[in-house]
Amino acid sequence: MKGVGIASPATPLQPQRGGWRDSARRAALVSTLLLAAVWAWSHFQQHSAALHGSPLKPVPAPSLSGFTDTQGRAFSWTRERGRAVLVFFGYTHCPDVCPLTLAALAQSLERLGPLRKQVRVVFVTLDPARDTAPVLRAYLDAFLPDTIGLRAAMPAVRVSARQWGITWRRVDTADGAYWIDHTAAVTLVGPDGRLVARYGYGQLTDPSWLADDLRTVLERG
Amino acid sequence: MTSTWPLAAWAGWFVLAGLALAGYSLAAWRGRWPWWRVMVFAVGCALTLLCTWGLNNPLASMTGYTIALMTLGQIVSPLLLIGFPPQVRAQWRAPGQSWWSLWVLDAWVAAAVFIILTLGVNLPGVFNTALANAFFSGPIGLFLLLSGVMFWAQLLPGCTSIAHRWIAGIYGWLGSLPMMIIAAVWVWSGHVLYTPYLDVLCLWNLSPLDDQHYAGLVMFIAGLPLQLRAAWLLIMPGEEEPS
Repeated sequence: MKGVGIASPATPLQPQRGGWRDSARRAALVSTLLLAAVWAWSHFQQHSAALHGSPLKPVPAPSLSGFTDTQGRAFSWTRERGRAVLVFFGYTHCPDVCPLTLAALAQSLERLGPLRKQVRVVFVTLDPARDTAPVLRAYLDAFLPDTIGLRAAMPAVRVSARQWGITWRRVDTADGAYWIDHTAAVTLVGPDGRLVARYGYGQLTDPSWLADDLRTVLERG
Repeated sequence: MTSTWPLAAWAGWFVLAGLALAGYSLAAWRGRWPWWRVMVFAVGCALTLLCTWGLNNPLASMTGYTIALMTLGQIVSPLLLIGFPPQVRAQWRAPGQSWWSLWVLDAWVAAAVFIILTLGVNLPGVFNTALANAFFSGPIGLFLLLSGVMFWAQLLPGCTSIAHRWIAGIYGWLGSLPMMIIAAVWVWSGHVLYTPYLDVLCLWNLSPLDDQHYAGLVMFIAGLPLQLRAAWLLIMPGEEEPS
């Protein structure tokens, strides 16, 4: 076998036990098992891992206690059970990220068809001093009229932002005004009231991604 | 969701590498194996442990994660095999040897396992599992290491079940193709394929798309040893590996 077989003369090639037909059968069996395992892995994993957003531990959504909507009613997750809820922290004077994010959400929701009414957007203001209820309502009506606008006293805003993983800071400008640097992430809460996934602005650039994820979440209940 | 490994995963990885090295050292000492083979095996074990850097937080960098996976599958696996003298590798396939060699050292089975795992772990449904929970990067890395060992065993004297060098060369080249195709998709895709990377700051301040391109480049480079070995088997006359 010298110069022909891959095995060197010092290590003579052992004959293939059972011949190629047995090998092919073994390979077929192993392939079937492996393909089934790969399919099961991707199919039965925690469903949030298959989404376009970044998966979150499926714990109950933080309460948002102390917040009221633009009609002055206290917010309650119980009323939103059965709906997918997209929670976004921002402020109406935001020059770029907030309007872009709301516009991106509107584009995604447009694609949902009949499922659209099972999705709610909740906009939590980080700037309750300027975002009065009427200001907030008028702002949200320009993007998504059925959005719930929430505001609370600053201590409650601080607690809530921390619970939702939102970091932010006020930046004063020379003309006496200010803006707010903040995390631009949208959090998806499932119909069961548990966290599902988080979307940075980059994950909202293709409207079909969030739309697909919402369909998946709503169809799985 | 766990973005980095829990302590149990770290411990498991180090214990596994430690046990492998201890078992190998005992066999090498009894068999008086050449020192350079011991060194090669030790380097393989050391690289395995270094790979934990990229495996323990896959979401931090796609490039880092790919470096770890490819190192395990394409660098560590041949090093571990070369750590054993050809005569010892030949004993694995000897008649009457335990049943495992019938499966693990079968060329058809090895090709099936290697190709399916290479393609399977890069499907978003599987790849994203490790991004969602870093704990899963451990078994994924281990599967790639094992499949790499199985496939590389068919390209080395002693443990192969392929009789002709040119067949082994074609076998190795064909086996490397799925990896090259995935690498090409990553390098030339204009879209980020694994969207969780869009929501994190990648290491080295890379954009997610650049990170994906670099990961593809890493996969290309990691596939080179396999392709070079395949070319060597195709065009060079038979070699005798030193014992």
